[in-house]
Amino acid sequence: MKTMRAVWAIFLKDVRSEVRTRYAVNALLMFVVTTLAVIMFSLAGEVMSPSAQAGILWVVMFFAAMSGLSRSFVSEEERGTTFTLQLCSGPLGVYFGKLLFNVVLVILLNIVIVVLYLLTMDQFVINQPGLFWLVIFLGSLGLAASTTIIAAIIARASSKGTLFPVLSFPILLPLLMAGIDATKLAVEDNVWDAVWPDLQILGAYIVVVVTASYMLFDYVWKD
Amino acid sequence: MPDVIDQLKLSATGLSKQFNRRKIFHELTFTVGKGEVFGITGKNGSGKSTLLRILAGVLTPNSGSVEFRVGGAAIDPEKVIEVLGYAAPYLMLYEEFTALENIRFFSEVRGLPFDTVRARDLLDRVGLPSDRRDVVHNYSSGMKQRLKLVFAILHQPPFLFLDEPTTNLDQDGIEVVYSLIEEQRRHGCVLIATNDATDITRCDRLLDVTTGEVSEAAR
Amino acid sequence: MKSTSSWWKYLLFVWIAVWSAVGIVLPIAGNLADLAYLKQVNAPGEIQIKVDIDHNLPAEFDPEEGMFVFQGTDGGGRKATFYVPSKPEGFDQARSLLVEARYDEDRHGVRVCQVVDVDPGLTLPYIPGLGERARIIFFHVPMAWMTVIAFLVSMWYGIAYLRKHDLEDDMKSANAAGLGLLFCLLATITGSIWAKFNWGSFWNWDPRETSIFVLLLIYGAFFALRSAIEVEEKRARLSAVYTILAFVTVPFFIFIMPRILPGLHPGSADDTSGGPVMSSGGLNAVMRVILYSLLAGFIVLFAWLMNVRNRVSRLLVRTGIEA
Repeated sequence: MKTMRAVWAIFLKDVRSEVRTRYAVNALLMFVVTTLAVIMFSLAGEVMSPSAQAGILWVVMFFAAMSGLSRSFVSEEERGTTFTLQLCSGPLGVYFGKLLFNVVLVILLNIVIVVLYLLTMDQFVINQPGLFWLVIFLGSLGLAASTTIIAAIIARASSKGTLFPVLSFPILLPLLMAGIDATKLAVEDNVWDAVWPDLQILGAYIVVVVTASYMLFDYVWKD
Repeated sequence: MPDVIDQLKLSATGLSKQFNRRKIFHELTFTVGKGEVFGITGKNGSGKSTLLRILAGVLTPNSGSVEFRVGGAAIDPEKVIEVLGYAAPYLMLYEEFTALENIRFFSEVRGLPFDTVRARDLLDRVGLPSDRRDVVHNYSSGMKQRLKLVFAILHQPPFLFLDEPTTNLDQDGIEVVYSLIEEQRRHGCVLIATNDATDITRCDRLLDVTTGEVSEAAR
Repeated sequence: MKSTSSWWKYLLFVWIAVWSAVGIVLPIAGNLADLAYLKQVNAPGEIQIKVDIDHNLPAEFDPEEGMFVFQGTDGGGRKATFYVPSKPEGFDQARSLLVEARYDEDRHGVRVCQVVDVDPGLTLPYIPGLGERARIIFFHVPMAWMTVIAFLVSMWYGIAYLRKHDLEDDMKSANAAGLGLLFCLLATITGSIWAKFNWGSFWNWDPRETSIFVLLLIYGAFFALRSAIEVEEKRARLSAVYTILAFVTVPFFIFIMPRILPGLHPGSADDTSGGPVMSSGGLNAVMRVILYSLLAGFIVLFAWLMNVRNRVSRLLVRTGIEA
């Protein structure tokens, strides 16, 4: 109960801080817009197959996550408030508070990405919208789950940012492969049965990563 | 009356710490009981702050153990932060928030109800204007130090850790610290890490981190 | 000065050298079933097969065919008529022949092009599509295994560090990972060169190739993380956490994904022959013995290298050359 309160307090604190500084949100939005612009320029009217477009969508989502999701922990380390947090909250409150913030941030981010993607790519048609959004939702959860613990590691390693994609990519690869495959299938009008194995991988991945993070976070958080 | 002393006790046994195989301090053993003001002294870099962090359970020692007792019962290491207040120059506040917003977050995260009246009282107590609307970023270092004292006493902890509590403070601020120390003496104990001669006169006993010796302070 | 006996090191080198030589030198010999399979898939070609001569049936030169004709069986009990241009040397005493042969459509028999060996000893089986290239199994598979074993050892010592906070464990963890990286590179390179000749390109993103690639990335990330942290205790803690985190996600690749996704390696979802190389009944006894012997040799080699590296690390720490 006490932990739940701490989780909520840390989540609200991060939201308020983000609203006030707009540090992550501004950088993320600009990143998404520039990335989409580069994709448009490089395509120059070329028509891509829907499955190739689904793959490119994940490229944008992956790099957007890489550019913004480490903020939650790195900003605490930069402001020197890690020690303050260690003194007023247990590790679980911090981990789940940050996880919740990252989940909300990445879901909003991915919704924006998909909407912009739909607006800019004329040929991008989703044949199975329900399935598609489910995959995006699960993918967002997975992205948030694994980047939260990696962000904690790199923040504690006091190396800002550069290591984040290096450490995240191998851990994220199972998620990316299943996510890309499932998105392609949903875009190409496939039924549930075809996407089911990928959904199982995505679900299992989220459970495994959150459980492992939950057990390991203490070692990352305490000096 | 041994039971009274046992009611509230911090005991450290054989604490050693090294960084990159460089020895910071070795085999520190001491206890601090209720009503005591315990001074931790030592040269710069001798590990005063490191010792406080280890006692607070934030840093793991290479060997040794720390035990907190409240009401005769040992405190679970996970819950030590609930009975512990800590103020230090290296403790940072959320500078994008106002003083009240900071207090509000620290109350909520500790699971305490946030009460504006009490928060304003606390700000008054440390001599900060309770009606300031601007963010902590605009505060002077002395004002930040005062706000850190609020962070330390917010949850009325029986154990108060003060690391160089009078740095950055004017005479008025120093008086605030000393009155806090005397008040804490009544319901708990204080650990002060300092080299300041005036701070040391407030202590009952002194620990030299380098030698590990505990001596009665000349008052 | 403590003197250590080193006889077992020589034994280790001899062991690995001998089994490697056996793996390289032993001839590959198919049987009649393999010839029938090649005919079935319309890939007629010459392969080496081993044939037991049936001396009870007539074996003589047939002037009409212009060939020496004899009856033979393969290990599996299939019978066939064999046609050789001339009577092989030592035919009357020989019990079996190793021959290069192909299926002869006109005669419905086996056309022997060349006699390679008389009374061959142990042979390796012919694997359709691999032929001589099957020998990679003896080196590539142990390397891939060692990559995983080194990773597990590294994680084991990482967990030990988290439990006991002893920097010795962290050093062992890093040394195991260093050797793992070496084995990982060897497995990737041997596999990649082989893939060029068998599958046509160096890299195909087959699930198993992806899994070794991920392991390579994880080892790389592990060392990148370590070099970014100054404080030893923190370095030890964070790299141990990362190893464990990688371990819980990577099995998706090594053990689950390759088995549910279609691919080129044995054991893929669209491979009807059954499980992966190591567990399938597809490998014959001789191959198994060589493979396991080499694997055992590499495991001992790994343990010895670990020991040497740990001693070097301890010396560096003691002399203060490296913190």
